[in-house]
Amino acid sequence: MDQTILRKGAFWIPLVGLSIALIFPWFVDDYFIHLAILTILYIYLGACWNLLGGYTGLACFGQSVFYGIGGYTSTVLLIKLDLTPWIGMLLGGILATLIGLMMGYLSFHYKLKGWYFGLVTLAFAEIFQIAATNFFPGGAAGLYVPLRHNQILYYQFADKRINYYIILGLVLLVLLITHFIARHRLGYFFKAVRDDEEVAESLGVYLMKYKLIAMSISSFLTAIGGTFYIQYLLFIDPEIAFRMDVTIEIILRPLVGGIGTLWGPVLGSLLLTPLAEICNVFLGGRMGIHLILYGIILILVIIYSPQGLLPLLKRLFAKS
Amino acid sequence: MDFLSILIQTFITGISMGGVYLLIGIGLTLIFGVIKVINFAHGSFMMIAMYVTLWLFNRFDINPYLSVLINIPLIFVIGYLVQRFLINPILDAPHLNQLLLTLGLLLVIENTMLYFKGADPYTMKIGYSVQSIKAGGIILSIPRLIILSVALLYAGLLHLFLSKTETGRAIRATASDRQAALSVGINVRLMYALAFAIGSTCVGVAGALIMMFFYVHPYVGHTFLILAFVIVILGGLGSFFGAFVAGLLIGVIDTFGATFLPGTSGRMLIFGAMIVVLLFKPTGLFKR
Amino acid sequence: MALLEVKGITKRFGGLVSLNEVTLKIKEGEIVGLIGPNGAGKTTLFNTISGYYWPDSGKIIYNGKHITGLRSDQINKMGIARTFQSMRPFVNMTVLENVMVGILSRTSDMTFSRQKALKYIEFVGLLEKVDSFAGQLSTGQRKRLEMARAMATQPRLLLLDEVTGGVDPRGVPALVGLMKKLREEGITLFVIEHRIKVITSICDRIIALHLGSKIADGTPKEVTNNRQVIDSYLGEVYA
Repeated sequence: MDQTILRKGAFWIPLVGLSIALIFPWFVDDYFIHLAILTILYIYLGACWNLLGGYTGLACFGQSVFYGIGGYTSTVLLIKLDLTPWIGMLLGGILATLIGLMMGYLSFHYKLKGWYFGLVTLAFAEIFQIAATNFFPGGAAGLYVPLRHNQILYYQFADKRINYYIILGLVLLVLLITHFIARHRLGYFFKAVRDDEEVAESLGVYLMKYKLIAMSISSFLTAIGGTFYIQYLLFIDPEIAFRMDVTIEIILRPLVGGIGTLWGPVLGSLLLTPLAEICNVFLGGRMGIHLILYGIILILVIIYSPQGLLPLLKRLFAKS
Repeated sequence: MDFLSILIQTFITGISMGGVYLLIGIGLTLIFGVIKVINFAHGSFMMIAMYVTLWLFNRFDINPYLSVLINIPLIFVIGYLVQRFLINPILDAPHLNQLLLTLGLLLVIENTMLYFKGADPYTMKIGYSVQSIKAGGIILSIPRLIILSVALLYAGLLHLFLSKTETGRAIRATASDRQAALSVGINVRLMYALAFAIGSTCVGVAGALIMMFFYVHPYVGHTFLILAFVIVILGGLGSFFGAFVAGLLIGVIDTFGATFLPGTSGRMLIFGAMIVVLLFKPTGLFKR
Repeated sequence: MALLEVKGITKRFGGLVSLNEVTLKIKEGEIVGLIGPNGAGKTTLFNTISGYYWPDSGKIIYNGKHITGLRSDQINKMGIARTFQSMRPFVNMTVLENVMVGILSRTSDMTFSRQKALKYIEFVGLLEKVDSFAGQLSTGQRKRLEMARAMATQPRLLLLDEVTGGVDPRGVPALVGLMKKLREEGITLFVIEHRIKVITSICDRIIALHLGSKIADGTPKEVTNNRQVIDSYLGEVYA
């Protein structure tokens, strides 16, 4: 009986949610659309990380590298070659994937696991931020995305709603990809690698291949998200692109929402992103205030429900 | 100033920074060696120490060297409480969880400080931070030498504590074999809390010492934390000697990098070194 | 031609010699037992054969091919599977999912894999637990899951590491029955066991290790009467 309710809920809640999401932008003003864009962007980025960290168990702290590379590639190519960011986005994705493959190959070849892997990726992130400040075009001051005034070709829109639908489409894409992966061989292998990679190998799973696949998907999609956001913000600098905060914010969504689950990042972002905004509005505009709450929530989740809130909700719901 | 003097000065600054770094590194490696937890909030404890030192100086005219003595018990208590109430409950969880918890702690501490103090950097206006003496045509900065001495002194005291006292030995026993320690009646939970607290006092000292030469702001802990990671990885997780040597080394490299390379690019070398060590010799370079 | 040939395998860990010039042969269709006191190197031998470790010297030849230095996923694909003594199920996956992993490494057809996995789960008698999370199983159930999981990779040679270890004595005959069924299916078994009754009842041949060296290799009767074996084993054997 409980199972049927859970399954029905699992079908209807997302459907209702999606319907609301689709018609939402026509009923609210720009401020809320902006908020929604951020929320959905973080669902997207969180889900990208979730594939790597949640499903495959590779806790990567280098998401900002992929995100930043995506943003910088499309912007620099637009400035220097007048190349449409749509293609720039794909090129950024490819570049990010190559970097991810390099990081991954080095780490996995030397059998780095757990937080050792996290530290290596963290070191790479730091290196990229320093490199961006000192050697990238724009340097520490950053780059302004050349205005092209509401041209689809140049991925710029006067109406925020278009940006909204783009990110909505992207998030549906990544959720579909995650769902598909989880129910097919790739997902089974990812989870086996997460739970016990040595045993997985003894059962015929080629670890390097599947870890790199996870790494590539995650890095490519994260870079796409980076381009999206920079095209929305119309400005990029080493801070925005590569700072550690970005990675933390990304990881927090699936961590709090439900690591290794499809809806974890959704729940996490729906909870955390608006919370940040509420903090900023009611507690003075000082930067980083919401992070106090994030920190407290993270601590509580780790102590009381380390798998995230979604499993906790499921348990509570199953009991009632 | 000729090139030789620049070299020597850079070296001295580097070594004195090394003194501070080695303290930070020793603290982190002690915590890791005993509890197997990487404390992400390590840098934020240092930030607290720095603000306290600044406040004591501005409000009560207390010399930063003296602040060291105040910071030690303060950070000890903070560290003890954190370990006892936050980390103890999840000691048996995967290491990643503990790391994430300390990350949450970092977020709380740094941003609370941001709320109360704002993002503006503060520095100490202190006359004798530029005191120097001339030795053989080279200008030696006295406070930097004092900092180095204090750092070495504290490290030495810590080493004595760990090797000669009963509590110290109990802590080391717990670090090498928790089960065995339990079976000989050592209060392991207490040892964990002590290790965490004592390891944290190291940054209390480091923070007070460095306040003379640095700006403090709520996020200042980040840089020190990352460098602490590098030191601990290079020196070997849990190795006192390793952290000692690596701390000095990083201090010198970092300072030379800042002096002779453009912008902050010197740091890239340091992170590159960490990656190389993690890949090829994750147990560290100096493990004895 | 022997299915498996181990020639002069030596494995060191730091200063400790875990395997010392171990040489043995296993013929297709045999059930060979591996005995020895704790620390004799039995699991290390399994680990080396299956590619979990690489030997410091020596050769391993399986089905006529050199497999020394290959990865364990490659060796598994060639037909060697093993169970783990310290039972390592994929705790966050169900029993069904656990078993499917081994099948999926050879095919990507989900429906087919599910069906085959159910057969193996049934074979080991875990059908009622098919949708339970592996982390919730009892010791005996985990042992059987280990077997089903390894079997799902369709090995010709199956290395069983202490399948009766820690199992309630009443459950042992069922496991022995399973092993016999495996032989009927045509799988060659190499079995680490502490229970002498189990070993003597199903093994065609027994190999004994002591401190990394092979000290006996023969029929159960020969080995159990071997002076060296008895000496090394004093106090270790339980019937």
